[in-house]
Amino acid sequence: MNQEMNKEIHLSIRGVSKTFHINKGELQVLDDINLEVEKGEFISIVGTSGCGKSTLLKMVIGLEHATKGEIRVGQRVVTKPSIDCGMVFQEARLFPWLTVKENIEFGITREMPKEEQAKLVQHHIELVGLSGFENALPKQLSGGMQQRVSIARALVNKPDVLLLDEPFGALDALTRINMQNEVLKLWEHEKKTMVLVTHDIDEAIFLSDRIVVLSARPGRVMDIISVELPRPRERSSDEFLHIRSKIFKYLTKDATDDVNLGKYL
Amino acid sequence: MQQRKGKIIVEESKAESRGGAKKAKNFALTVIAPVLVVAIWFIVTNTGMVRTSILPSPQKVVSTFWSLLSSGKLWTDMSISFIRVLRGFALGALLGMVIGSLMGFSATVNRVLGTMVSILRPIPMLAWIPILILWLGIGESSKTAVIFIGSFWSVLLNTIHGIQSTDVKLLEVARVLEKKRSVFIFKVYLPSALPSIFTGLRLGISSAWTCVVGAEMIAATSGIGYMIHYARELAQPARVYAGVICIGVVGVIIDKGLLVLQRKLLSWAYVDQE
Repeated sequence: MNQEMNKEIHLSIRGVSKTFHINKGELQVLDDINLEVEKGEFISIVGTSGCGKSTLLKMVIGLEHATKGEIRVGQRVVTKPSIDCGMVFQEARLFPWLTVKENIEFGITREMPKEEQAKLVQHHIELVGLSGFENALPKQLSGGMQQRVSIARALVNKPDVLLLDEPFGALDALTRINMQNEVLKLWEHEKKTMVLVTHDIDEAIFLSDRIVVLSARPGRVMDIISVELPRPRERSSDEFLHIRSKIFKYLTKDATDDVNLGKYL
Repeated sequence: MQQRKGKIIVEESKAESRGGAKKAKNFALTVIAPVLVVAIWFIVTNTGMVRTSILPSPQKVVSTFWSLLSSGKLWTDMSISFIRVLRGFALGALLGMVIGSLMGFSATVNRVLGTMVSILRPIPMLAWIPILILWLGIGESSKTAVIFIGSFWSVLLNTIHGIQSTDVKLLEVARVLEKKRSVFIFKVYLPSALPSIFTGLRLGISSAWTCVVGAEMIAATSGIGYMIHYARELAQPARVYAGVICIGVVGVIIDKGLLVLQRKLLSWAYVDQE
């Protein structure tokens, strides 16, 4: 997909470690993470639960701070949240007192004339397929629809990088597959750099250019796997399944190591 | 097809009547206790088990109530009390929300005023009355002050609680979107605190209403509380009971009315009923 010679590094994570202090104890969740993401690339980060993959994303957006190392988005060193990065959380996190339209409107931080704002909001409502639900309250929507609103809210600010933190984890299997197709369409259409954190291996292979496999706590990069299959990808093709079993082995081997280690702790 | 449609309609109406039966049952359950109390009251007073100078019969209380209502006396006293309640409550609610917001938003203000709140709050209303008379005399202002104190605390505490319990997840959304401080306050904190603030207002006006009798113990010459005291002095028990029941009924009406208003204004915070 990204075979052009002059690749532009859009997001760089250099030597990032993170240690939490809990009850006077220390808990290292990430250890020396290095990753460079090119402009327009779709990257997934997979790992078992508790490996710090969500923490990594929170550091990229600036809600958490790295204990060691540096994260850059473009030329900017990340120290706090900035609207050049958008974020979709695991839960839709909509404001329950705002309608669909108002929730998406909340995503706009840049100053702009009212008309332009209304146009932009309407465009994004259509983009995520929610026409007709403009004035609905979040409580009237299904989980999948709520997550669509949340995606539209993140996109409406026109971020350069979109971060997705297990955005479909709480959805049922069918809705999840639909949403994956939609995100793929959005990515092809908007050409944004996207970083997806997930524990769903299929989801990662279906969407990503490259998949970062993290080990169990403390999270280290075990492998970065390039997926060079044409899109849309056939989930039951041999290549797909091959990659799947490769990642699966990484994650389960890692889990058994963890169990063995448990004997000595 | 026609038949099928008919059948569906029949089923619907059945479901409706089932819903109606459920409604009737729920209604019966809510009124059963008061009805029972009145029935026992009726029996013990009409069989001479209890002296009517202590507990007049319900029919006597009702007839007293009607005569008070038709003479306009009840209406005058009630409206005087009601205006007192509104005045005290307006002051209590306003200050409760303002100080509560300051304490909710600022940890410093919360620390500075927190001790005072925990010292003053447990002081019972009756203990305030002599102090308020010393400070404000026996005029309207001390009566207003009693009601003010009665409504202030629940508004204050619920405002603080509402602001402090704003969902961290929603705050993160605003942080990620680099929102200004004013947006945080007016678009995130305050709307999410509204249901709690409204509950505070509801509790506040209820307790303001219960304080009115206390307030009208202070050298009053009008109002429902005064009417009750005066009737007791004149040994007119039916009047005392009519007044007491009136206070209860008006309290229920105020609370239910505000509950309906709350559900209407803050419908987003409630699960839709089928």
